Amino acid sequence: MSMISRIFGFCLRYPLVGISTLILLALLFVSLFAPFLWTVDPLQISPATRLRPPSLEHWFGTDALGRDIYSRVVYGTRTSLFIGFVVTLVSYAFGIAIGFLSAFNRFADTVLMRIIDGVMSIPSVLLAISLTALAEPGIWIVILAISIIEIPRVTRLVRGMSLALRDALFIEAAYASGTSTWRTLFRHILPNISAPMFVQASQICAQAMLIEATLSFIGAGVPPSNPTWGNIIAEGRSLYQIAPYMILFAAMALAITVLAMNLLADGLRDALDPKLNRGG
Amino acid sequence: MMDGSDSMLLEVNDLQMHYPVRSRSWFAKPDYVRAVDGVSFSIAKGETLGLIGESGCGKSSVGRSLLRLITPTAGKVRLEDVNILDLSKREMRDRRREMQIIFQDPFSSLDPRLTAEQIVSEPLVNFKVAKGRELSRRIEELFDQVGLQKQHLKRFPHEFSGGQRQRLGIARAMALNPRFVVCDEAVSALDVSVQAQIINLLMDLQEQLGLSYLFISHDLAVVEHISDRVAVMYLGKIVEIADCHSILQNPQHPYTQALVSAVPRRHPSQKKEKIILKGDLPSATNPPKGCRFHTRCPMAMERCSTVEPIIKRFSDDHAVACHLID
Repeated sequence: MSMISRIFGFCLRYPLVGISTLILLALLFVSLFAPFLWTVDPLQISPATRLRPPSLEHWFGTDALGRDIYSRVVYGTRTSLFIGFVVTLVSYAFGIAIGFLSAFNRFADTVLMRIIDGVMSIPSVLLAISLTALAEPGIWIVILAISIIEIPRVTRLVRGMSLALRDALFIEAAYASGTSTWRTLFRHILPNISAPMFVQASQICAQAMLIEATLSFIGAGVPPSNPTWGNIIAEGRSLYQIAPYMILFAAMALAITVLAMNLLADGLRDALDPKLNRGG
Repeated sequence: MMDGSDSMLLEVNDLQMHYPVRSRSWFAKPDYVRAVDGVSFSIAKGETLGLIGESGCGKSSVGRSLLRLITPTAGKVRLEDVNILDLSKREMRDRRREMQIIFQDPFSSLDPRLTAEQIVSEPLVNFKVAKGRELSRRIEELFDQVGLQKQHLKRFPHEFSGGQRQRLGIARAMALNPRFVVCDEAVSALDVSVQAQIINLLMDLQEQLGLSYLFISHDLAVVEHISDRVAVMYLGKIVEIADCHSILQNPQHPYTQALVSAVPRRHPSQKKEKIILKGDLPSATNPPKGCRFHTRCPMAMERCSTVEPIIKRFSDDHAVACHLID
């Protein structure tokens, strides 16, 4: 009971976090229970009912092949969230490791930062396109490509903040108390840089979903047979003047998700500041 | 007391700490800031040595070198019979149980994300001194020793006052029952009234636990109160070292005389001429030839700018590095 009231109180104090978390939980629910949400097979072609506008039967209408757009958007949530979360996890795993290494080893820093600079100097979508072109199209190559784009951002953040903390007196105090380097990293440095990292993580998650949609839109992403928001928008592009509903709902889903992620980032920035912490 | 007799806990011999500075070109010889340039002293069991000097004279570098928080360029630091500069990293880590430090800034020396309890338990957990109930008992004992209450256990550093934070820093330093503690400007950041409390706490702990202190400060009044002996540092060297009384009543080095004359009198009738030194501390990258103090010394002679004075016994417990003493 107290747990629930505490969560409720927290959401009242930080309404942005509350609202965006609610939206994201709803999206998570949708992607997990997609088959039970009055959907039909999103790949089912039915030429007889092509380009139907939204109706009771097809809530979001049907596309040029007669596939139910509602089902496609709902199943597309799976792909988008999956890509967003996995990319965030992968880029943080590598970003934290590389960031720590270069903050605490000068030689590694010189080498790694030049590589990072190089990766960052290539336009991100262009880099993703060329990476996906290297292998057979599929969801994992898309995740890999987007992660490679995002890793440098995380690395920069982790490295910069660790460098600022490295000479802090409380790190020296930990050393003087016999704390090992590993323990110092995870007990002192990581918690003290976690607030900006959470903020950036939600932005990276949103960014990853946008890049995935962009790649799918230009046909370099997930194979078109998979329902993803980017693919749905891409297929609707040529017909949007006569059938705007083909791209409207997928675009709205994408916009709401990214907005929720960005709101979460904003709210977390305030909520995670220990000096503004109002209990909870 | 100044001989290397058996009662000495810590002996420092010709300690040097040179920080490299970025040279102007790739081919130029690298420059060094000679923050500590040949410092020797010793501290007996249960004794407090005050180390004073102005900002940038290398006092803190001495304190940190002793604990190997920075690695000195040269010299020997013997804790009982072990030169701690020869120890491997792992051996040094074990030695940290015996040597601790209290930092100047009670704000940045405590991790803002940890509770008071977690901060004090860190050294105990690191060295597996205590676990579970035993650990909480020891932490409560430490809190009691430094004058913090039980209800402070779960608070975060920003919820404490400056004096309480410093008490927390002291509890952390005392957790492992060290024998030697460096107090690096431990009270300089505090209000005068709180300074007195903290100094008294440090003196009480010394009495209870038989600690030795190296008390680094730029405030002669504070050092006078706590120290048995005082060393005066100027530009990386000790210019005068003596027991507290002689330094204050009978300073020999012109620099010490200037420092002592700057301490406010306790009574207006005790008038004394203030010696105002001219100029700034010279650069430690390129210290003056001869006596390092000759550029600002009111009594400088010709010899001072060419021959460096060595530190010499003046009386039984009083050594000075000045040509005027000969």
